[in-house]
Amino acid sequence: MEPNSITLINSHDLALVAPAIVLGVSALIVLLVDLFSMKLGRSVLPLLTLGGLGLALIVHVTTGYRGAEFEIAFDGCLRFDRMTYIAQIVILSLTLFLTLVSPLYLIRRRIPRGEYYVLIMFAALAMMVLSASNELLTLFINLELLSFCLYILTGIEQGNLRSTEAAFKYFTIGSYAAAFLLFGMTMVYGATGATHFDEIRVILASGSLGGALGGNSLFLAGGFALMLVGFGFKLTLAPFHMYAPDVYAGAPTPVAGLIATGSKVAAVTAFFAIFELMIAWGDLPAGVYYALYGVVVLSIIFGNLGALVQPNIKRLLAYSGVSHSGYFMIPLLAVMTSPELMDKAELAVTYYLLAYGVMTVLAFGVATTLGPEGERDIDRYAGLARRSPVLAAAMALALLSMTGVPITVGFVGKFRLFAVAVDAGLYPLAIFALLASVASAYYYLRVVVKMYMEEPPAEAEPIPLEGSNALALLAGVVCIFLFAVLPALVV
Amino acid sequence: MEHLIPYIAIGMILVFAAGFAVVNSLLGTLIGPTKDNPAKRLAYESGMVPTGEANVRIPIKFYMVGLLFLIFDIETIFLLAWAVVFKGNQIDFASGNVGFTQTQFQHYGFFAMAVFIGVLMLAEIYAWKKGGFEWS
Amino acid sequence: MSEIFILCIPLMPLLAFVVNGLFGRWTREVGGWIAFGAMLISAVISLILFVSALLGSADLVLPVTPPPLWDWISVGDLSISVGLHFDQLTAVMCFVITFVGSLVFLYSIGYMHGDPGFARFFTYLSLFAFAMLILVLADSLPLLFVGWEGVGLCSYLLIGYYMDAPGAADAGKKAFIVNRVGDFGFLLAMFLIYKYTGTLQISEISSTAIETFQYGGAAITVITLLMFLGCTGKSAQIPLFIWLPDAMAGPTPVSALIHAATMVTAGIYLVVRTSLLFALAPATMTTMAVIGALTAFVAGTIALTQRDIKKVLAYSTVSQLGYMFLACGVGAFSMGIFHVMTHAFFKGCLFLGAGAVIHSIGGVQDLFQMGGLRKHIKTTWLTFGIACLAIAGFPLTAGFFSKDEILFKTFVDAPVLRIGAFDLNVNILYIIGVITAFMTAIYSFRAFFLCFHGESRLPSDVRSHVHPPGATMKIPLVVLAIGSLFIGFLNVPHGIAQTFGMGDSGAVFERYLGVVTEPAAAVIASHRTEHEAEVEVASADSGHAAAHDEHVFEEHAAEAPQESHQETGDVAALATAAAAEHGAENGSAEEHGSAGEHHSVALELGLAGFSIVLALVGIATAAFLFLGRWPDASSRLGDSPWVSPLRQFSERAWWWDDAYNTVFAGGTWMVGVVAVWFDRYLIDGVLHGVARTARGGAAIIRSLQMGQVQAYAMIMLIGANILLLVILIW
Repeated sequence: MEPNSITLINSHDLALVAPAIVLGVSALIVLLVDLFSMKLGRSVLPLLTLGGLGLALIVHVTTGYRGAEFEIAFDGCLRFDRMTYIAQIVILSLTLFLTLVSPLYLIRRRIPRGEYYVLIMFAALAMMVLSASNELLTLFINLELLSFCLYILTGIEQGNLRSTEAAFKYFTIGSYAAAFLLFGMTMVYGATGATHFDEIRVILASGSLGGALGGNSLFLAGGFALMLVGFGFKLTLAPFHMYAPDVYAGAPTPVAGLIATGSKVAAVTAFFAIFELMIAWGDLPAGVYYALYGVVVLSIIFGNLGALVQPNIKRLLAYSGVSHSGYFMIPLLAVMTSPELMDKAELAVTYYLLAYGVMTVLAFGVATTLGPEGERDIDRYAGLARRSPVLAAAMALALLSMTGVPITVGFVGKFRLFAVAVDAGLYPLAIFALLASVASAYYYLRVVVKMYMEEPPAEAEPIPLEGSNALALLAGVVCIFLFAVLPALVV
Repeated sequence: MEHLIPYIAIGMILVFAAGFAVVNSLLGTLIGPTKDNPAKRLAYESGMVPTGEANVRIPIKFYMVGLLFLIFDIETIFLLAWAVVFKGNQIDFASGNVGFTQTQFQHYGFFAMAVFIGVLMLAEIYAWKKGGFEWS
Repeated sequence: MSEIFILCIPLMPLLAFVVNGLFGRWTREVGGWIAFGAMLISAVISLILFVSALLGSADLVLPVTPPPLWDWISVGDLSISVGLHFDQLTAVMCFVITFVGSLVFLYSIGYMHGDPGFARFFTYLSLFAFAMLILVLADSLPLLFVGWEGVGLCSYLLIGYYMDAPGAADAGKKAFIVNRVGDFGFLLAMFLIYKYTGTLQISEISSTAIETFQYGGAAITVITLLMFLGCTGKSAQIPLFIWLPDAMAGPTPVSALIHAATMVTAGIYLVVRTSLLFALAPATMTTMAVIGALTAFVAGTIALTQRDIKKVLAYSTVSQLGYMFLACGVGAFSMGIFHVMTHAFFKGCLFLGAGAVIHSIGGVQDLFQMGGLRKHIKTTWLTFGIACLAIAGFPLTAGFFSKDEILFKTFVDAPVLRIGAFDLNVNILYIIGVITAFMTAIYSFRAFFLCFHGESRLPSDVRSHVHPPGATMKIPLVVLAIGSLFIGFLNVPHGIAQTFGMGDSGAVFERYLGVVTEPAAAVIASHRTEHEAEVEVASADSGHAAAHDEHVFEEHAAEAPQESHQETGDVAALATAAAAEHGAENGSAEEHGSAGEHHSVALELGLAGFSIVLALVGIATAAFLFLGRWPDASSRLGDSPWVSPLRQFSERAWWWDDAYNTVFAGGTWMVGVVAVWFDRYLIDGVLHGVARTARGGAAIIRSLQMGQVQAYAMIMLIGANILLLVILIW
């Protein structure tokens, strides 16, 4: 490495991470306010959080990435490109959404609000940086920061056994997966002697490692395999998804929403960078392709089959998330067979980040708004349309979008994902994914049918809607249509 | 496949090791005498006669202290490494390969550590305020 | 002006239907009079139109086609409007429907007196009349089909009118289902016609048929066969005749009107209406003639032994319908329609008479429980007797003229069966027709004698309570009986007319309807001529004498030429034109000039005499067996070892129903069993299999999802190892 590439921090770098800094500072402010203003009442906390997130979003949109192909910061530790830019907007928006629907839920469940908001913001911060990671350690540290926040958030409802159990499971399995990831990283480092992606890419492209898994390339391939395991955990790809239903079901609903959406969006973005490394390696073993293929197929099968008989709405969404993660990986497979599709695949994945984020977070938002009623059995959704037309409509829309019904983002997103597979000639995979997607209508529409065609329970009353929740849900609904009709707004 | 040939030895060792353990334990249970007496049933505690239950509950406070210790322990270790390079004596600023002066470097180092210490201090305040330092 | 009148014909019953249907609860018995009044108006209009058409009134220029009422279906090239078409044929049918109809309505007022469903009955009856009139007035096949289905619906409703009675609903269902089989054929035929001609307008079909279809081609044969299948359903011919006897479960006036006089003749009407198409398909014509003759014969044999008076009449109706198809099949379309008309009178009279009998003795229908009723119900006895004479073909009655003419045409024109071994040509259809005529005389007078003569076998409680029918029931009987006597004079055969000094005034009806049937007749004639020419050439070549035999009538034509020159002249001219159109040689067309002079007074008179003798012998046989002067004659005959199996055969209606039950019901059951098996084990199996696989898979996933962290970790580890293996070893 040339010495002259060493630089100190500069304004260019700072501008790129400014949103993250805003988030960090806001988090600390919220922490302090929570500590010292107990008597002031805690209603300022969500406002402060919203302010911080909003400011970060504004800063991000105004100062961040400027449409160049990509920008590097902090000696190549961070890399900002189109995908990162959009992923970060999505992350901030999702966090904002969840913050908007949370307050009432937190009061009902007696969740310590100070820590909650602080951790939410730290998680957002971690996600922001994770999605821009361009270096192994940066990636890992932020992944861990994110994970820690999520572990604590999952178990933040003290005294709730399910929540605690979920947190413990999440933590245990998460650490376990982190070990795989870290081990994979060490192997990659061992093989290439570099942690910066840019350097690794150069080394891989040079072909100096040799192919046929001789010498260091064996470690490299093993490293990628183990990293795939580690990311498989974060992305809830089968068979590394097992924790997801339990954790989603046990965690407070907005936290489950964050785990399902924000963390996955960030992880997909980060994994895409790793994937670009793999592609850059000319001697990538064919086994990687088949392994990923198997993981995708398995995820789609497990996700759909698991959701099929699921009576619990959050577990259903967890399984649905598993299959959607499988869909996410389809363009990657396409790129492995036809590298010229890289651009198209990147666009498809980027769009689906937004689509998946919007529709999933909307579903979780409805579940959160419903409170204790909305996070357990699907049967509780019976006749929801009578009790709260707005919530039922938002939920139905989210589920229809997940099914892939036209004029929703879900349709456009899936279409683009599968189109890449078709372009690459992966017809069996595309058809399989399409069929699975059709079959998924069964369990999505089951909920819709319950909401619209069944009688509400006798003792059920109409459900009032908080202003902030209504605002958030409305925004979500608008997004589902807006980005479906005008995909050009995204990419 | 041929790239795996060097690992055959390792695989053999694995097999031998596992086989050795399994065979010996099997032999022990098969041919060893199985006369039972109370002393044999005692937990092994380095030759002493064990006292109390094996499952002892350790108060959570220990974990709190442990966590706090970890935080400051890491802070100390981090500070030590920082202090070693703080002055920048190892860097040849005159070579022209470096895009900043020694003063800039030191300011930068100070600022960075200040942020770190500041955040850590907030954490300490948080722990203190939440009663993390109180034993009872 | 006539257009408005024509519109009024179907409108009046429709009006009555609406009034009775909506306000039946209030109109009650008055509803019957309303329906009758409406029908009477239609009947008067129809009668006037028919008579003026018959007399060739200058005021009535046929055909009358009122402007289309509205566009019904307009899709792409297909445009169907609701329009009426009134020509000579329609005039006859309208006359029969409304005239017999109004009499039956009047009769029903008396017959249904006190019935709780009185208004419902007249609602259905009016709807029936409307649908039937639409059927005959329609100018397009789809509209005709509307009427076709409409009368089917009313038939179903009226058969099942006594819905509480055992079997009535089943009989209705049976009629409906059997008719659906025929309708299926009709529909297919309609589709094919549209495919080939591009239109469903009957007049357009007729005008384009000759250019569109090749004579005897596969397309026209299939089309006409399918149409004929529809006719066999509606007009109760083999193989679909089985519903009509069961249809007697309906009220007797219904049997008279729908299942004897009008609806069942819709098939004949359809054949005559599209006679040109049939004429182009000689194979279908032959089929039709054979089916008609067979049906006539089979139903006649069955009618011989039935105990139920209405069953006798029902099988008799089937038999007579067979005659009509026989007539159409040999090309004598107008004779088919003529028989429809005469049959409407005498069979209507018979049914109404039977109804009066049943009515007067409190619902008994078994002939062997009647007897000696002559003393009690004189009017009925007389009218029933007249109708029996008519159906038996007693000289100068309606049935004599119509049936005899059909037999004559059959004798002349029917395809012959050639028995090569004996070098013999046998006109088997004629033989069947004659035998059936003989049986007709027997069974009708069997019923007559068993019912009205001999010892009374009535149950004692009924015997003392015989009450004669009222005026509303008597008047229709009398009118119909008069009709049965005299309506036949509309078409005195040429030979007879000549012989009895009536000059050329014979065959009025045939000439009248000739306008409608002449294109068909021309086609048949021209091709027959061609055929004969070929045969003659062939016979001349081989020097064989068989051809001579086959065309025995030619000899007669040679012996007695010129008789019916005028009548056949225009047909011959038309035939000439048609033959030229078909590119036949001129020689053959000229040949036809002499071949057309088939009619021979001697032959005609001879055959008529033969028929008369047969009818008289038949009546005498019936008298011998059933009049009671020779006790036990019938039972001794019936029980004799030679006849007994035949009697059983007849009583069980040739086991026709049983065969259908076995073949179709059993077959359907078998298909059902197979289908159920298929459905249950294959389709459901696959479906449930998929569902079960999914659920099974889900169950496995659920079982994996045991909630234990160590298990999750283990699965992750296994997954990671497989992943590593795949990546490193693949």
